[in-house]
Amino acid sequence: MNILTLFVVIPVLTVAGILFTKDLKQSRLVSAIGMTAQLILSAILVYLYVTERQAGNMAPMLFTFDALWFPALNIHYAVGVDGISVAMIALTGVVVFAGIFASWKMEFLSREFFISLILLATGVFGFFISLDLFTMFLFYEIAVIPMYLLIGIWGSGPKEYSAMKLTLMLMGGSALLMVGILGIYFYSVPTGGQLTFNVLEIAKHKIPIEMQRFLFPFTFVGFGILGALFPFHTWSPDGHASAPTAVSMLHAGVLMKLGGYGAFRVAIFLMPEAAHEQAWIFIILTSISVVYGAFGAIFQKDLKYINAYSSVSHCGLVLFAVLMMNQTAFTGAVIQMISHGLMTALFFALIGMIYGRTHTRMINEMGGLMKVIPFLGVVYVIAGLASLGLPGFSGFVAEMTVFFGAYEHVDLFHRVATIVAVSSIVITAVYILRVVGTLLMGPITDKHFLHLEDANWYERLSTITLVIGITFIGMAPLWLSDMIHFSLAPIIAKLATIQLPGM
Amino acid sequence: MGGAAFMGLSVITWALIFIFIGGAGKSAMFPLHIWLPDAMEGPTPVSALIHAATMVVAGVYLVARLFPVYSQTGPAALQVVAWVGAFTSLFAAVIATTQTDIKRVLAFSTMSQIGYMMLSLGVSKYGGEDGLGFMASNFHLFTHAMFKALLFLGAGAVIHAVHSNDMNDMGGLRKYLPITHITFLIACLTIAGIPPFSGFFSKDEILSAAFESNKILFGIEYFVAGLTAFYMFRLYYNIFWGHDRHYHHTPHEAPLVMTVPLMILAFGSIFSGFLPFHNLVTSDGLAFESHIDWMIAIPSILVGVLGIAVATIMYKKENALPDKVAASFSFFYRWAFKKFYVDEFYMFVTKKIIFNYISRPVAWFDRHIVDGTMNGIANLIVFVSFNIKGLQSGRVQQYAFVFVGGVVAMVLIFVYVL
Repeated sequence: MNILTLFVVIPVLTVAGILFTKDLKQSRLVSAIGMTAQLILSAILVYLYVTERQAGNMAPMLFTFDALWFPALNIHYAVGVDGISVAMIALTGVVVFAGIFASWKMEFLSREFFISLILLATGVFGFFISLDLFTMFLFYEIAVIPMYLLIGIWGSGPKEYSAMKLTLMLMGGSALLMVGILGIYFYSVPTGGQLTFNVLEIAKHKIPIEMQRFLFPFTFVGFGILGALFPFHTWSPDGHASAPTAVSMLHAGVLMKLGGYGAFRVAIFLMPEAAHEQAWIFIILTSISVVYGAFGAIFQKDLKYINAYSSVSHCGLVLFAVLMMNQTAFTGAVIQMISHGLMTALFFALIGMIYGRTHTRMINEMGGLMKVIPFLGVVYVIAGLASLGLPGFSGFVAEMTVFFGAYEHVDLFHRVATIVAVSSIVITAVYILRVVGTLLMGPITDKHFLHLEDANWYERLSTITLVIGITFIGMAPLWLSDMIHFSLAPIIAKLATIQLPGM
Repeated sequence: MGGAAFMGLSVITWALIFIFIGGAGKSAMFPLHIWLPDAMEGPTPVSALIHAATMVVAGVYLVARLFPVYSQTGPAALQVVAWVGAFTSLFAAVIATTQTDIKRVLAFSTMSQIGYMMLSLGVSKYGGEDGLGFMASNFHLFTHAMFKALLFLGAGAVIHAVHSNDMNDMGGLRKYLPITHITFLIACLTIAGIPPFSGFFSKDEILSAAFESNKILFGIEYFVAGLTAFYMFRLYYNIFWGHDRHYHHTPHEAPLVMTVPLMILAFGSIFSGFLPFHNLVTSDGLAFESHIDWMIAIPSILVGVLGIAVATIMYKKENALPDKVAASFSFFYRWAFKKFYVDEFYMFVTKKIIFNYISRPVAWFDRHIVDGTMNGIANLIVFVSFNIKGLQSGRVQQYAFVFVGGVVAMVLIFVYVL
């Protein structure tokens, strides 16, 4: 069987396995086995991909597989990966693995919880391997719908409201996407040929510019809603805050990257002319996202809300970079997706662990935790420093690349937008350091906190995995950026054919 | 892109100014200096290393490293460097004369000396003897590292003995801490610019470079040299002379592991002035001849001696003179003591303005307007749904009425309109 299809099969088998389990202990064991296998498979995929490329295979997509699914509409089950997809699959493998261990104590309806979580993961993996727009959309929906259950049942706070708002807004995005995808389908080939959903096929032709102008906003906004594009981001603060730990980790860490990835792979790749024309509108919106999210985060007092607004800011940066449409900026966008995915998963995992001990998420009720739970404290500081872009961690690599790419545009508009986005670095430093200082340093405010236990083995496993990812990419980013760089060749070639001025 | 200009300065000049601003933050230049006195909360060896000798001069190093670019393509940026440096050294020196926490005095002293280094870079030109300022700046960086680290470690030994940072809790310590006392005195003489200690040589070169370039800058730095001597000896006398305070236990000299470094640094402070820096570090990498200009050196020695003399009169023996001076300049004294309220200004901007006027409205806007719109759409749909469902009433009479009414309407439309 095609190695990529395994990424969908293993989670489904894991879900089937969970159906036979009785309680928490068994279901979490089956989940752990399944997702460890998935993580190992992701590592194998990275290795195989790199070896194939080194052997000289120059095809745009590797490990492809194509099967006709629905002949009447020419829908295929088509899969394939390039460097960018491989990187995203690796990210998902790591985050899902960490998420399972962060949920080690999920007592309530544990079987159903793990089933929903792994179904979500199936959707994500499927999305990243798909080359057929319909299949991609199918997996996108699989990735969104379990969120409703996961937040509504296992969440906290106004969970029903948050679940409903998140699902409806993301469904709204899907509706816009559906319009976009169908439009692309009907104009996929010049008149006479058979319509196709295959991304690579469509990219060979140019969709008529009038249709592009109409379809690009639908597609970009459709993906953008998931990628926290201002002003459609408001599902994110409540959604993340109400969701249980592993769900927040997966959602902010991976699902929001579906938006960025989709915007890049579908909206800009297939409709570059319209993207070039309309980029300015979205650059304004994404610049606002970046700064707005950061300012919003300063005001929050609930750890999860701070992190949710932070995710709005960082994911906004991904979309910002994607709109800059040059090689450096695209590379930066992908690295930022991976870097932020790991960082935010780490943050949410830590917040869950801290909440499980102190039973509060309000920063003014906690203080001096570094003395009491030093392991978690140190990991929190690492996560914070990575988030504000300290060199040595992945956040710096991503931000530098994005800003370099953005600055390559010489016109005033792009320069101003870049400067606005750069200012977010300072604002990010403010809220991150404020939280670290209030939460971890200083005197211990509540004497009940004196007896908190530090992290146990599954919590350490979960967090250390993510820290290794962040540090590894921060210290040795070239393997990743080379992998991405090569895979950007098709889209850069396509952009070159449309004669973009001022680049 | 290189030909573009903004407000009369080229792009590269602006770029160099922005790079300098980054370095100014790192080197605690006004107005990005407020972190340095507060960083004194850290342990003294940390202060000695990073806040005296190494990290805090990173900004100076940055400008020095880029000096060929500064001097040859963006000389206007050097004006900014020079004036910020000069202003900072004056600003910090004035504040240092009023502070009572001994580490704060040293922090402001560091700011002031780094101001000297920046000024020296700012007035320098490129190449040979024109690069005197560059050489002097790096020379002063080197000697400053020695005596400032010595001062901080000495302060650490004093704090270790007395368990307090405040100079009001200290006095007469020369009897109990002889090694600390002598090394501290050597450092104070060095910073005051008394020959043959190293500070004299490096400071003299800076003053020469300033004199050749801009007399006003020279004047400022000359005045600051006198102030430096004054406040350092104020510090010295307050710690080591005067009457003993009520100490918790008899202050004892720090152990050898702490005093040997003091002695090593004192050695460095005394002798590093004789290094032929003009052969080693110059703007274009080539050695040049440099000698003491006695026309500058003699007045600078005199102003140092004057500063020491005033400090001796006011502080060696306890008297009411300092309080009388402070009272007569009460307004100015209060402002200097409060570090000119810069900290309060920053707190105002961050708390009141950024937090209250920017963050709070953003969060409110997000919650009530953006989110409110989403909630509003949802509520609208619920409202419409609520009202439409009246159509599914189950009452057959209503269905019959709608049916008949619909048919009548369609007939009318078909007959009269179409």
